[in-house]
Amino acid sequence: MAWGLTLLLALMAAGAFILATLAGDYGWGVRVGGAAWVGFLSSIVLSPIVASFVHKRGR
Amino acid sequence: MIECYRMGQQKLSVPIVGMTCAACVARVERALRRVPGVADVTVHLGSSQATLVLEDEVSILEIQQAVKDAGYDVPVATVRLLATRAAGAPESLQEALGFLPGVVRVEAGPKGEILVSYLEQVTSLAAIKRALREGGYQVAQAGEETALEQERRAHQEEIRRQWLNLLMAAILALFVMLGSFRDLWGLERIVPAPLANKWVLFGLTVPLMVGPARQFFVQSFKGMRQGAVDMNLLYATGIGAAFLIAVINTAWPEAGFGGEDLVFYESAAFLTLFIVLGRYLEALTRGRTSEAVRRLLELRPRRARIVREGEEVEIPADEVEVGDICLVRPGEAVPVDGVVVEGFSAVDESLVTGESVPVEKAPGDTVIGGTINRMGAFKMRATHVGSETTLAQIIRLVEEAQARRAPIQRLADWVAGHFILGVHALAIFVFLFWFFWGYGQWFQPQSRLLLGAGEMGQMGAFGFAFLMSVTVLVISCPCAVGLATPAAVMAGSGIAATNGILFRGADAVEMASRLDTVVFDKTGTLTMGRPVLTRTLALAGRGEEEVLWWASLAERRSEHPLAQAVIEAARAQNLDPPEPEMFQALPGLGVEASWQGHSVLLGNRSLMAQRQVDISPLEGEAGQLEEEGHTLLFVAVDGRALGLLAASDAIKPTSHLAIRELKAMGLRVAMLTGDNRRTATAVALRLGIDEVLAEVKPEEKARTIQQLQSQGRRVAMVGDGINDAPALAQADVGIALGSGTDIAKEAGHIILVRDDPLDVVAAVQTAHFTMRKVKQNLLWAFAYNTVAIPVAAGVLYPLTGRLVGPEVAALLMALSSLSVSLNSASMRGWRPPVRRKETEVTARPATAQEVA
Repeated sequence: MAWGLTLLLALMAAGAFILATLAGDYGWGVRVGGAAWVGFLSSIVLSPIVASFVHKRGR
Repeated sequence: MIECYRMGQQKLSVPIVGMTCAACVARVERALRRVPGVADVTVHLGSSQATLVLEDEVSILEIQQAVKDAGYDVPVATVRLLATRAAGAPESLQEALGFLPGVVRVEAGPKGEILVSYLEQVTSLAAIKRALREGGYQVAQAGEETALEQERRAHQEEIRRQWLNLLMAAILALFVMLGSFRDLWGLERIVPAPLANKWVLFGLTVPLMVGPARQFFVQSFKGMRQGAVDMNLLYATGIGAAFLIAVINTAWPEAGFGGEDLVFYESAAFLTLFIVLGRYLEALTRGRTSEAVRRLLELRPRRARIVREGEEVEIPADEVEVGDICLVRPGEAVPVDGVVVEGFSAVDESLVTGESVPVEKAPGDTVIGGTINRMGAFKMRATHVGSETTLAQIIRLVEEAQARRAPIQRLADWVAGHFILGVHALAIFVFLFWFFWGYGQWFQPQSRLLLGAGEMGQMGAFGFAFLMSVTVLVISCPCAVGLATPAAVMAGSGIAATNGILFRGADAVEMASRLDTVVFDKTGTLTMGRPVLTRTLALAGRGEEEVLWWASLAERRSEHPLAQAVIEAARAQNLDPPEPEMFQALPGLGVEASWQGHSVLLGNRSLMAQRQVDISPLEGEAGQLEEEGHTLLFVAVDGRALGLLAASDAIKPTSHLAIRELKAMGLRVAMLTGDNRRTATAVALRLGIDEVLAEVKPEEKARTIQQLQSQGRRVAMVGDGINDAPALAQADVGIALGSGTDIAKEAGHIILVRDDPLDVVAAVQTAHFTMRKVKQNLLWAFAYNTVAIPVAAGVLYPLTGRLVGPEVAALLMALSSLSVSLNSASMRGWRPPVRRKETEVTARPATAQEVA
């Protein structure tokens, strides 16, 4: 549950990055690479926060 | 055969191996909290211990498995036994061992041996052997490895492993650097061209990733599975990202990540090299920091020579039982605590009590297990064995003390706990900032990396922002923040323990460093606690012998030190009065007794005033005796004063120096006593104490301390750990003096093994020194991160055109963490200044000024 939610939020962060790059002149390699980096770091930051949130809701 | 047993302990200390930083502590705590039956867990990095509070029966195997799943281990002692089953003995060893708490597993070994693994904190080899013997087995020992030895072996293996990693990383990183920078510094003359090929560099970096860097990926994966993030994740992210981009730029240069001009192989290689270097140096220094505690553990004697049925038998020290007569020869260690029954010697107690001069021992004197017999042979009767010995208690107390956190550590722990997530969040922000805005604003193609060889050239927005982001991850050092307090507290409490000073916790160390007032209980603390009768005065018409006779009659059932003085004086005059028919001790006043219809009162002025006994005929001489510092006991029979007794308690030889040192440190020194004001003032004047809290009854001591605290003072109370327990508990720091062998029974935050007031000074000095180191460590750790992270994020780039590269960041991070460990390790060999002064004072004649 927590992992799924974390993944969803990280994908949303990555998607938001790609959307933001559409306004500029970037290659698709850079867009995907940047989105992967943002998504990866976001999943690390979000995983304990989401796990704690889910744990509290579960109780 | 593997069997596990359950245990019903309330509190359990378990050694943990493999922890490297504050995040590891959090991970182990989280893993252990999930074990059913565990109510609370405190893990301490410095001492590598977990202290568990259990609310239910918990299997040690479950604890060990939980720790293993988190990526660490619990070392257990293993003994090889040759157990022969006698007829009728149970077939199952499990049955024979009777579910002995602390036994982790029993395995059948080769040649009929059995291997028993057990937790030394819970059970002992002697208990295992006893259980087997009681189960009908004949037992012989084939070999043993204690948890300490196992821990040391694990530590040595860790050093060796990191050394091999370092060697491999250094060699490969050197080749990667030569290949990467072949075009610079004129290297093309000595470096063959194929080494600069991107695929060759890839081939050289891969072994680095699967060799020395593998530990970071494995550990961070284990952590993520547990829902925890730690330093390994920072390393793995930095190294992995650099390597991945290098591979993409090698295989697919058109991908838009900077192309062939931007390969990060040298970054990945040097990141690994410097992080492994940090790990290696930390493994070296961490072992040294806890050396003081290890030295105490190593004092535990292994063998004992006991006399059984008139014959000398050598047995393991663990198997000595209370009442056994042990023989100790010159140069041997005293096996357990006991009392000398035959022979004379001098025993070196320096490693246990800090007493530098060997202590003479004669029949009736107590000896402490682990101390060294220097001169003659003697026989002793064992009084405390196993976990009850002084040394075992000291080790337990020190371990518990190191497991408790100082208030100053809470902030550090909070920061260290949230640091890694914060740094990752910052890395996202830094990436987005430089990618979308900063690159366009400030990027200059001619800018360089700090200590880097070439210019940035045509590095794109992604490569530039990515570089900044990775550098932020790599340069941050939560380890230094997390280690700052425990490393110094562990070293400080270890030094204190080897000087006979036991802090009950890191909070006691911190509080002792913030004291402004030290209150000494007079009797037995500043004085010897053995008063002697110096004068007997009788009223006109009464004899001095008569006064002493009635006084000793009243005191016969009393255990007060003054009563002993009265009885001894009576004996010296061949007076032997009968036992009183009624006796009542009146705390803080004296005693009341009756014999053949006569009522006897013996006590101070307050008692006489309370019972309306007229003592005015004695006032003249009484006043003079009090001004000389004598304690007075008035004697009244049937409501009429008979005379008085004057007693004097000699001041300890080191009391003057202790008070002078405390005052020189800016502390206010007060004396607390039940004596009347005039007597107390006279003693205080002789000692140089300005503040006297006199006529305080035993039950009022705690309230008196409370009154001082209500004035905003931070008070230490020094007294007897048993009699003064309420006052010691009330004080901000309770210091129990001269506990001897009954350490565990003592109240107080600091326990002094010796009976020396100078140890109070040494304790305060040790606390000051330790907290100074803690503050230095914290200041460095916070300052480093506060400066390094913004610089890595490129704050100075618009001004200087220079960037910190990931390799330099890794080196700085490793050095930052190492500096904290080294600063704490530098405490080794430190002695409280008063101890040095004490040696100087005892080694030379007193100066005229000191005599005055």
